[in-house]
Amino acid sequence: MFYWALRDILRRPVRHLLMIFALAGLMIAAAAPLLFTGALSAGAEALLSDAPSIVIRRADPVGWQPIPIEPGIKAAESIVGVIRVRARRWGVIDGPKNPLVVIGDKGLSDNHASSLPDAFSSDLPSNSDFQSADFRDFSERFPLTPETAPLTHETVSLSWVRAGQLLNLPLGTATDLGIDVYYPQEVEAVCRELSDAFPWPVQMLTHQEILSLFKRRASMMGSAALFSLIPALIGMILMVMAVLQQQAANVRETGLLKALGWTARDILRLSFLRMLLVIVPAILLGAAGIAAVFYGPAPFRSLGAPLGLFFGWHGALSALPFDAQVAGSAFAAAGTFILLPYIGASLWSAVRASAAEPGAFIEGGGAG
Amino acid sequence: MSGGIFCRDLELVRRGSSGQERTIFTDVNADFPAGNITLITGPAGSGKSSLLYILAGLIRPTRGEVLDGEEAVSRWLTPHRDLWRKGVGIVFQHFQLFAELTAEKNVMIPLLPKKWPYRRIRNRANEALERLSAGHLSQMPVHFLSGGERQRVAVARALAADPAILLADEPTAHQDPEGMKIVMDVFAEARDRARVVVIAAHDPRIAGIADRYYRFIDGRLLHDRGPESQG
Repeated sequence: MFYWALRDILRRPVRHLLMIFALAGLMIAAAAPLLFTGALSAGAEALLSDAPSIVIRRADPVGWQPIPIEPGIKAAESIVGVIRVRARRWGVIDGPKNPLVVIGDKGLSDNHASSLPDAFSSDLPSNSDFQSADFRDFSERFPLTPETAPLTHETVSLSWVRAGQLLNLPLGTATDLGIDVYYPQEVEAVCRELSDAFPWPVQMLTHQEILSLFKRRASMMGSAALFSLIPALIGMILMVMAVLQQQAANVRETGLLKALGWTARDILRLSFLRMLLVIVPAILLGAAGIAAVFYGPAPFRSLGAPLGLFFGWHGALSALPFDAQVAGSAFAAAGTFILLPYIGASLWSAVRASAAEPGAFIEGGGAG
Repeated sequence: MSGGIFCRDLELVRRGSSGQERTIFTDVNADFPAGNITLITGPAGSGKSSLLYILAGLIRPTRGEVLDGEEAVSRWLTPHRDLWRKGVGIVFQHFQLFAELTAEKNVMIPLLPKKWPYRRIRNRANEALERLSAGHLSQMPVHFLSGGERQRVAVARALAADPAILLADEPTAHQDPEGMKIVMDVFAEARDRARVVVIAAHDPRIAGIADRYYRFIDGRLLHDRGPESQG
């Protein structure tokens, strides 16, 4: 029986290969929003785990201004309840191919450029090729662990000095200050005192405000990724229609098999084996595709570049951090979403055909 | 093993696509005992093939019943008739072979659900082909074969599972005298092994081998005395 099912598949190899690729492709498309949502949530959690309680920026009437580090730290530390002040350098620059987020890292040497993703580090031109751009009005981007990749796509870590040069920050200045307070419930009171402590006008963002900005952004990105379900859904409907049409064309064959002594059970068994011969390779291919596009090396991830359009990313996707639970449930959900309708359509047609009177399907039911 | 098939008051009414009804035959009472070759003749469209389909359990009669021994198989539910049909071999008028498959694979089809080892299925299929002197065609796709060769493959397929009931619709229509003899010999063998053999045919060459005769005339199946009745 298995042999016969295999023969059936090989009888129309192109059609079945296309079906296998279509199922695998649909699985990847359906898994994408689930994997992204999981990764975005893990990324936001990792980014915010080390976020300061308050972020302070200097804001003149003309816009954002670099904040002098030494007087800034001194002013912040003068407030009771502040336990740590960090100067930070970051901003958006025009990269060689597309805008990049640059982060100054005091732990890096001047000639070092590490990045997430790696692909951008080698493309960085000399300082003179960059112009400073507007700072973004939110974001806490420390630490840049792999979990943060979905949220720090096209972000480059440079040495503290070089980042300052690229961002046109004068010596001794930073983009902003990150302030930690002893009691989180005192943040609002500390903010009121901080605004009076600086000799320049400042704007502040609290951890809660940053958190809600991130959640909003993560939710927007997740919703955007959900749009990839639309082509998956359309593809699934077309696939089910193709299966039903294919099965309808096979009714003569089913009738003939019954006339030759096959029972409904035998025919269902054949249909099941035939279906397995399509589904098993499709699942394996889908799993390999998901692993390659979302977790694999850059050349494979570039296959998923169209998904990056939802987020305004350029080039290959960032490798998502592997979380067995997220990956497992996304794979299972995508498999169920795509494979169940296929299985249903295949078996339903087989049940219908196998339960019918075979004479109706062959030679017009015996006309002579 | 079947003791024979018996038709009681069979009637078949077909409904056309326009909804018009046509009675193919009515009041058919006939016995097809085991160990006999029964020949059914009649003009084209008289209902020979339809009767074979009813005997094979492929369609249900509009009225009346088909008995296998004492069991009214035509009334059985589809799953039971599916199981019963495992003991029926049928040769279709237009062969109904899988054109892209080899002769051997076509003959293997009725044997596949038996859960035998592949080698045994294959051997059995080749034995059936050998009996029809078609062993040399075993590995040829049937669309390469002549009409007569295809017909012998179709007969081999019907015989492969050694059915208790063998039904054949015009099984010699494409046979030359040599092929005719081969086909008739296997039917005679089946009769000698106490199988029910029913043949629907125009071919007067078959008449000599049959033990019982029926003829369709105006929608009724009449008992016939065979060649002697035609002088």
